Amino acid sequence: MRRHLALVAVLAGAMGVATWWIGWWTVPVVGAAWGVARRGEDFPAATAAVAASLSWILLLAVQALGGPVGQLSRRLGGVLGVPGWVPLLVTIVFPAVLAAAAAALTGSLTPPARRDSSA
Amino acid sequence: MRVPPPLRSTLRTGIPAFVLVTGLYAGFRSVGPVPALGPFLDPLHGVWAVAVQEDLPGQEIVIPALSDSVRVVFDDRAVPHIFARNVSDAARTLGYLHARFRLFQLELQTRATTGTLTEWLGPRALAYDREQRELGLAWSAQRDIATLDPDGRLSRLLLAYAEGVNARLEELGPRDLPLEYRLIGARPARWEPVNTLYLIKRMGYTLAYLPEERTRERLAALVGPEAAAALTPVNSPIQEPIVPSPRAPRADLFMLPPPSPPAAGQRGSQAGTAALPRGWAERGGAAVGSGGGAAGLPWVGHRGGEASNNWVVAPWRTANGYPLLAGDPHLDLTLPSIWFEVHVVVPDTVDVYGVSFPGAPLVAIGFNRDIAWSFTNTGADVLDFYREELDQPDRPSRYRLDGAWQPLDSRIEEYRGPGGRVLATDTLFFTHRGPLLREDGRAYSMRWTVLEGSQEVLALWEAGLARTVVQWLTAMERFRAPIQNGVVADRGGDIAVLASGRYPVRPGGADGLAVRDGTTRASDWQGELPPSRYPYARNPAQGFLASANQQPLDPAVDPVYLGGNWPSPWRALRINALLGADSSVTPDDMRGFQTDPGSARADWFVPAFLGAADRAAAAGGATAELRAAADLLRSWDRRYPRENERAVLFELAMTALDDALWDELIPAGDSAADREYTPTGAITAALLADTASPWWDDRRTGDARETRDAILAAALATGYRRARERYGDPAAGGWRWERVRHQNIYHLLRFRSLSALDIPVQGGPGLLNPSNGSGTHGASWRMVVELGPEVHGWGVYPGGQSGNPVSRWYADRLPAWTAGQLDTLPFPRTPDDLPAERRLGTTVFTGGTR
Repeated sequence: MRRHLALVAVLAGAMGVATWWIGWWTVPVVGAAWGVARRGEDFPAATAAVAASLSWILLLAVQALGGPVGQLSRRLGGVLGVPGWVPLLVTIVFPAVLAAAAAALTGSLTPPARRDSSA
Repeated sequence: MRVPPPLRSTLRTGIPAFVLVTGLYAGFRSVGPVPALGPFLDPLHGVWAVAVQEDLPGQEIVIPALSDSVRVVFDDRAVPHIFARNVSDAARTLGYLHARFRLFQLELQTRATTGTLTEWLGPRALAYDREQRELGLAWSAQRDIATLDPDGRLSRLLLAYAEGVNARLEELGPRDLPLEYRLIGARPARWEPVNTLYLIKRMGYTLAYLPEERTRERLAALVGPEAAAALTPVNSPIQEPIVPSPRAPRADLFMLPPPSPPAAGQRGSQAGTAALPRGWAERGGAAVGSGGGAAGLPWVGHRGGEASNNWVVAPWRTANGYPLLAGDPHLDLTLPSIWFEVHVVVPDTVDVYGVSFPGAPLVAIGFNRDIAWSFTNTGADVLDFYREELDQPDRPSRYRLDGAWQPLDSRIEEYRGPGGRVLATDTLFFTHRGPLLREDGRAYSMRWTVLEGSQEVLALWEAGLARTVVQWLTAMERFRAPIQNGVVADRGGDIAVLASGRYPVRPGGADGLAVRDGTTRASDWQGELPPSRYPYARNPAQGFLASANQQPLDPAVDPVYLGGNWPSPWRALRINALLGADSSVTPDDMRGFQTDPGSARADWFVPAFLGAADRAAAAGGATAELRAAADLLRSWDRRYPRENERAVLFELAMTALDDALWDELIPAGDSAADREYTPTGAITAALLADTASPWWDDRRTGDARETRDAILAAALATGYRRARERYGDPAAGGWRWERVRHQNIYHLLRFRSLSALDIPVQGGPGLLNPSNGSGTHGASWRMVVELGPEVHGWGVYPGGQSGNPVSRWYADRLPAWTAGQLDTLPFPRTPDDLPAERRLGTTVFTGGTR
């Protein structure tokens, strides 16, 4: 379990750094790579989704240290005609959907890794 | 149910593939009004970066074109004090700061003038863009800039300003993009010097597009030409002119000819529209109902009704013995505001403080070390229409003039959508007078001073350099359009008012309120009034001067034609009464006058209502409703503070009075809400003297013939009934003015969550602090200046310096503005003069490369 949490943290870190340095579209790319690397294991898509959300939550938290993210979300919600928390929620869900879909897709397309018989 | 393995495999691949492709599509591409989600939601570079955009620039900024370093000190109201060593560097820095704080506003107003909003908003803005291009605003600005001397002062000023704006654009990173660009999925365009002229033209459109011909035509179709002319008279029936007159204030004898029935087959607006094409003709009023024109924006449509106050007091009438000046231009209120406050210092050249338009390198209203000035709109008639004869109505190439065919100029206009796709193409034509509009086989050209030359930037810039009233007046002679009533005072004690700009002279001295024959040059303007004929007064015996958009000259003193259908002089009457009663005016008095709750309009009409009610009671004809209404109205002090509980009754009675009195102006079959036009309050007030006028009869009551008193009494009772229906029992607190009358300050894109709505104010119709209709119009800047040994200024505008809706400087001034308070304006001579407790930060701008 601890190892799994550590892997999620590492993946979230990778997604966060990639988003920071390169851009949002790296999230599904990292998710796809994760799907390949963890093919055949339990829930790689879910892990990717959690890590993606976590990475963007952390980045949003960093932003919130420097400015009124909550106020901005409320104003955006007003512009878009939705409750003020919806923009934040969509921001958290969007990378999760991309990462999970990418991980699931590559996991399903890649042949299972050959396992050592002694394993 | 068991899923077959092949299908299971397909689903395992297909579902994530579908979700991924859909997610990526939504991530990369905008869908309808929803922007591309990827770059939009990116927590670091997307919309969330707006939350952490710095309020002020950093400590060092590079503007490549600067010739010397510039130091900018921000005070605690985020006002930049620009200390430059030459004028060009000051203009560059101001351009940078405008872009830094108001980038989206800069481009929006440019696009609104050039008719290129479709590139942002798509086909829904097409009708609006077409109107703008037909008007020729951008065409004339491009023509003006092409004729400028590239080495002249104006060219250099515009270029330097553009260099500053573009320096900001070049340093703009993904994290710096303003919120609005992210919402519409656009990127800012490069700033060109001509954009400043677009802004000036736009002000011309806002303040000087007054097609009174249209009003008269529509009225003539309903009530006949004589009555139409009387309803939109050249001279106001109540005289309180800007230039003091020994015979004012007074009410002139006013006779309104009886309405004559419309010609057979004509029906109200349809008849009027048949005479003048819909496009230009409807524009003046169309946006009022739609709340923002085709583009749905709060301010891009023309609303009319712009108003303002300014006044100036001679030193011998002030408590401190120094001249005092106050100004509050009334415009559409938006967030961010039309104004950006700034202080510009270039040693031995300029040291001016005031409000600038984002988009122009100048302080429009403000003060320097020696003088102060402010403007109101004159509303002069500077626009005429001409009926033209074309060689081919469908594909014209020539128009008839003095019996010969003259070639039309033409211009192809393409309208593009957000992706660059061409949405529509038009050919616009121009006669020697100006733009041509065709509709249903008829053609009209337009001549409008706003389209002819532009020296306003230079005039205002030089006005800011003046050291005396005389120098300021001389500088303003260059100003052409829109004509403005400028009041000015200097430290030497001089005060003056000048309505400066270009006044066309029509053939035979005629007025400009009718469509003219375009087939002859004899219809053309014969020149313009010389500056010596402009409305002007200096150091009058009364010791003060005021303007509030009223008729500038008393026709009994000088009958020269300047325009017609002037706004009612209620605000002028009030401010002149206040100033005349106070021979020891203080700056705080001046501030208080700007939101004074007294009403000259109520002073005029309340006695009429009460007189009618009393006569009805004496005759035994007063209903319980009327008696109750009269008792309440009698107890009113005719003031509009927020806590007042009687003003609402008066306003509803006035509405009912308009409905009953002007029923003749309702096209047959329509309701009172569809009234073609409502004459000014001064017309109604003047008609009170004619108790038996047929206009008092309400045609909708059949054979009964109402008199003035019957209509007034019925209107008062109706107002009372409506007040009870809407706001409950008068003693229950629902009639409080603050619960009824609100200001609504919309964001430029009309997003409610970025707007400030339902703001209770001490103001109302006809008051010095006006608040009418939808409450989107009002005092856009309030300023008071005392010109003593040291100049002291106070000011506020509704909003804040920043265009970022989550900045602390976005709407920080609203509480003070709402309360009628003014902020003290620091006016340091050097950067170090600004007290530390009022200093927010310092930025040094340097030239070279980044």
